[in-house]
Amino acid sequence: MIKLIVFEFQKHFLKPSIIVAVLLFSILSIAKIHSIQNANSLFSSSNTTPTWKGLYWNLYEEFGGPITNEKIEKLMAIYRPLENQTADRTASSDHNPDSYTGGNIYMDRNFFMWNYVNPMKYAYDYKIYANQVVSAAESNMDFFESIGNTYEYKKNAVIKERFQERSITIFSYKEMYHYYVQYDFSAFLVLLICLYSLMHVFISEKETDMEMLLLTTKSGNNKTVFAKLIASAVFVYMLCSWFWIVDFVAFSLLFGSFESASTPLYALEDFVNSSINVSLSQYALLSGLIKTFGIFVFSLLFLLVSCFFKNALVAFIVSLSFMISLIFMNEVYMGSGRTLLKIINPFVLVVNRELFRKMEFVDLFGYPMIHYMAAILLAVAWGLLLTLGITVFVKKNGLSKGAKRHAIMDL
Amino acid sequence: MPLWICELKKMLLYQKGLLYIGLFFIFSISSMVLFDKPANPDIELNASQYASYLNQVKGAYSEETQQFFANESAKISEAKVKLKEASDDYYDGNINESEYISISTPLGEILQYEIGYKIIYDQFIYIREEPEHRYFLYTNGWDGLISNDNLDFLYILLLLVLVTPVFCFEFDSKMTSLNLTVKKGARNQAVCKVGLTCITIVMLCLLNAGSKYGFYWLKYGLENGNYPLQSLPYFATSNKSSTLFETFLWLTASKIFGSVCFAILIMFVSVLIKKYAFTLFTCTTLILLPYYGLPLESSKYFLSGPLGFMVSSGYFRGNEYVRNMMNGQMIFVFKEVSNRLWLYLFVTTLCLGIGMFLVILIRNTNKWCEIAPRYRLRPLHLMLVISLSFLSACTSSTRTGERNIYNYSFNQSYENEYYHFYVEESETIETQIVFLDKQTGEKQNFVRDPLSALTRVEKTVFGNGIYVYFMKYDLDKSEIREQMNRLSIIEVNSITFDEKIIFEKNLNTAKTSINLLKNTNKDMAFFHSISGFFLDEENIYFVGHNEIRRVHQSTGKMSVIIRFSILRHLAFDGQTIYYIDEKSQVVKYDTRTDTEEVIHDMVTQYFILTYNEIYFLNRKDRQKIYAMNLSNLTFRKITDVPVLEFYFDEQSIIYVSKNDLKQYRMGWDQGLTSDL
Amino acid sequence: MKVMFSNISKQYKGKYALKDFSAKLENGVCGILGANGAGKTTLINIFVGILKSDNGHVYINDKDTKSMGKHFLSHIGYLPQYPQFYKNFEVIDFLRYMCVLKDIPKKQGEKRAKELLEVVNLSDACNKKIGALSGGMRQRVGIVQAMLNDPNILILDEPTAGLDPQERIRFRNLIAQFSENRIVLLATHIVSDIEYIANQVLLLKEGRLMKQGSPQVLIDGLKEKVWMVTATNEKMVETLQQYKISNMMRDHGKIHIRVIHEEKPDAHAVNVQANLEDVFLYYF
Repeated sequence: MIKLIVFEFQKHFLKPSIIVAVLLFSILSIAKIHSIQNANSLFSSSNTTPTWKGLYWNLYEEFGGPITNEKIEKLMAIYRPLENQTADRTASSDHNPDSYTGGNIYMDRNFFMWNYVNPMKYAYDYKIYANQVVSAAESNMDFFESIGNTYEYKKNAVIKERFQERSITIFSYKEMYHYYVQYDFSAFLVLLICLYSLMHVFISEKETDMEMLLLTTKSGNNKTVFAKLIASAVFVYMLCSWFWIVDFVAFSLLFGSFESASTPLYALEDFVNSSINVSLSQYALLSGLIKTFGIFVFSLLFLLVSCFFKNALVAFIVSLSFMISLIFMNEVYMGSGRTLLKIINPFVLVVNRELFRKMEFVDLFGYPMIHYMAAILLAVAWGLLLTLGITVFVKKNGLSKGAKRHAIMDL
Repeated sequence: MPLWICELKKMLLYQKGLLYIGLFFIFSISSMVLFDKPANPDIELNASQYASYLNQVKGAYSEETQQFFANESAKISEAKVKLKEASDDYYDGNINESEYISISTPLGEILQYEIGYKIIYDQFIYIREEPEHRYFLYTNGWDGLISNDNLDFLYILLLLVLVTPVFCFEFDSKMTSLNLTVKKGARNQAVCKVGLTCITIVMLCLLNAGSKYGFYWLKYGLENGNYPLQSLPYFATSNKSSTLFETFLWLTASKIFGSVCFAILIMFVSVLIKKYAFTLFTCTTLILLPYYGLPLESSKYFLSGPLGFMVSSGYFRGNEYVRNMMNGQMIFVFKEVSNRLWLYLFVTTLCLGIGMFLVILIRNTNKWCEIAPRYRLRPLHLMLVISLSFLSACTSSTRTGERNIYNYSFNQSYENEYYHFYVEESETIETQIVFLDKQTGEKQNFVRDPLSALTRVEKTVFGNGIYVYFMKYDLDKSEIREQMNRLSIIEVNSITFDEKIIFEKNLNTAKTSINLLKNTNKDMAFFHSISGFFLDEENIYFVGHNEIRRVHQSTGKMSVIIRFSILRHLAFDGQTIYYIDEKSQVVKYDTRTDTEEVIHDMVTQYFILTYNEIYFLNRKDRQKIYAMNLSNLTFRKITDVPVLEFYFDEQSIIYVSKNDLKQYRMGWDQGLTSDL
Repeated sequence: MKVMFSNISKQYKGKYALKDFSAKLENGVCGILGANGAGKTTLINIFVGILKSDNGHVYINDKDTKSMGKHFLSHIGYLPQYPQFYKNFEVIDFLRYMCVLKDIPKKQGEKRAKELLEVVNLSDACNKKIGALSGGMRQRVGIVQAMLNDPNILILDEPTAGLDPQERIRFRNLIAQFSENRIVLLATHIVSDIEYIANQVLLLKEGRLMKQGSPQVLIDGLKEKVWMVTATNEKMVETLQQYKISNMMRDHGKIHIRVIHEEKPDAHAVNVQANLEDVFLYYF
């Protein structure tokens, strides 16, 4: 079986065109990350002067690490005068070489506000917010118990459990993760490569008239289909791993930092209500795995579509249309509170921050299931359904190789 | 039979081109009919008012126009003041009814058009910045037709499915070697195929442009095509001197050129690669990646190749900037393509097209018929060269059966059998919606989601029996600045306190995964200005600054049903909306028949609707509280003293007397009046 | 009609597929025999203009094909190896299409197609889709399309590959029928096809012309070089290792082995009449 899988992998995926596409797309992805860094980073040359970066890392030695009252006081001792002087916007905006940033007082204020004061305030206040959530959840539990709403009771119990003991004790540089978790372009590239590569898996057998031959061999039926599916899964996994690693390394290098690996995910302000208690590095890994699974479900869809056609033309167009439609649907429901409509689409696994930035639930026969779990379960169901479809249709096509089939396949 | 007919037959019939073209036009036209939304919905929602003003100023800006706007502003302000004076005089008994009618009718007519005036005034503000190039016109038709840079994805799919088989079909049928050895095969056939494909694409483009023109002409009208392009705000900063119709023609020509180049690119790639999948993948990639991947909206226009020309509207736009909040400098959001650069792009794209065409011919030439020696073109090298060249530059869920009375001034509270829900505002704690258990007197938070960060609950509630509704905005903190993501109306069952979303509106279309949703919603401003809402079985009614909009819960179709100059008060009984017009009269609007009726003799600035009566401060009787019976339309006096304001609860009416500014409570039977 | 190949060479990645190939062909069936990879298809592809040779010329009636341009194509009819044609075309539509490509006037083309379909016994199948035809029928459609323009030179690349014996014989007869007053260039490795119908045989080996001549001349060249040896099982192994064996047959415990060798391989060996298969084996 292993040999069969290796053969299938070699046959379909070790092609120069795929390798060239992967390399070119990797370069594109890096270029895109560079443009994100350039447009958004507080330290990019298009936004601020190089002094900002130097100053940040100098001060980071002082203010980075565990958040203490001394550090806060020290920081506020710098920031408060700046804030007071700029409050009525009457301070001079002339260039002042003696300022912290080498610009003017407004820039100094912005520097401290955006880089230190706001993030540190958020981190410092988070424990209070988490406690508020826990006490609100506890109060809700009492309330819902009193009115007999067990679903809401359980939901709040889960929220309480997830938010208990949450705090951000360490101040760290998170800008890289801030943009890394929002980055989806490489997933689009991976999907395009998958669309192209997987189109051949079943169609090539038809093009080379190997389909009938395979059916006459001992391992040619289900085993070959299974080997093809496993080989495709391995390919998708390898392809995704490559791109996610390239993304992570490119983000880290371009933002110039490998910091914050152990900082909790909820340290990112957009993930204030995050449903999982993991560190940023763990999230990067988890997100990569879930993205990969989402892309694999798409891959199964491409494979199923390809089963119905004899050449790649209509199969490719139909798969591409499905892909774009699902992406479009996902964009329509992005951020929506209509959780089921959102998670039924496997593309939600590909842009999975939507699953982890908020704590939402799906009612599973009275049991509140956190929506990322439900999304994964639904994707598993899609995957199984598509796999079943592939097994059924591939076999059926092989057995009923007649004029009728030609009518469909020759499209 | 000539060769081109054979090839045409092959392309349209055997390769099912006709079927695909038919499907494309069905999908394309039906998507236009179903999903097209006006660029400026306010114009459509206030069409008649807007049209009356537009007809007076249409065309170029002039001194007279300026004067007209100055006069009209003064006229409206004056009308408002005069109407108020006339109303006061009439209600104070200084003038009689016929005098009042003769004064107020023309004034009312002026004010009727106020919203239309506001829309045209916005246009005036825009036009007076650059009066030579900006004319007054009805913009929705032209905006829909030319003011977008969306890539028609269906059209791309059609080109791919139509053009890819032109050569790939020959390779797939193993006919290439045979074709090369026949007299009219090889180069002749290739020229015929390329020519025919190009002609088909040109026809398709023309038909597509024609269908779009026809659609917008029928739906909105495309008048004043001779006005300058800059009349549309989308092209505000354009330096091109072209009229709207000329721009449409240029865009069509450009799209034809882009489509033909794309078709040649597909044929070129297919001749080199000979496989369907790789050809489709390469061509899709070459179009989609620059379109979705480039950081600046204008970047795609700086690339040689078909993409820029296929979208093309950007060639007519000027530089657009925003201020970088980090360094205060202006940064480009759109970079203008100069005429010179456009010419360069056109020439390079044309050369690329010709080059690709030559390669197609060379690859389809019988070697005995070759004329000049050629360099060997390796497919991969060519692909790299081409790549480099491209890179160079709502469910209906409202509960029926129960009828609830909604009073706008009480939109911060609602009471049902079990609870009293209200907005609690205090200086010490954050404003929140709470509810009071009527039995136990216990006060609790109404919005029970413990995760309060990144949401903003609005200070308004609506109730209908056990169902209570609130409104919230979801926020996003993925950038330095917080942004509003979505508006939701949530239904809460006050027995189980289960929540359900009954309406959602995406307010941040710029924030998507790969920006497939590129269109921007122009009706966002309204959704940011909502001060209250109420529902019936099918619709949600949103109360804005000076209008009420009805949104169908299932279809999302929105319409303005009521306009007023100042929102004084309104109420809703499940079918009829009561509101105060500019003459201080209460007007009944039937939401089922969409008809209006003025309740005569009911002149007030404030009223409260109950199940059977309307309590109001009678402007005609020194602001004393009166009640009008809704079934027999009879009036009865409630208080003998002028009242400043009043409200009531289950037991009594509470009012502030105008005489001593003290608060009094009066029982429903009007027998008991006590000083509070 | 005369065709002359002069010093044709073609290299792929530094390896000669055809080297200094020169030959003269006249009316009649000319079989090109060679093992797989010998250069038969390369030669045909160069001749029909699909490939460009690195060196050499092809002359038709002493006229260089390079100077003939398109006119050259009206002289030839070509049936490629393993043709599929357009599966969703009807036979008659496909032939009409080929008439257009061959610049044959409509009426003439229609008449010619019908005549040829009659000849190849496909009149009943003219409205069938090509995808629904059997291999033999598709080959017959192939030869019809090649004959549409009544070419002076008919080039057939492996035309009988994959056909059943009956179809092959039928096809062979068609070739013989069509070879009147024209050159039929027939590339194959099925020796019997050539043996029965070829007037001339070109033997190609590793891109070089090994031998040219009529089948009889080639067969005569093997006179007294083909032997029949009767052997036991033990001796068979030794014989197999030592000589080129063109056939082997068991009969009542004995083995009759057909050996090709310059000298008598065994004292009991009997000299037998050579055939073209022996010639093929002798040279390859």
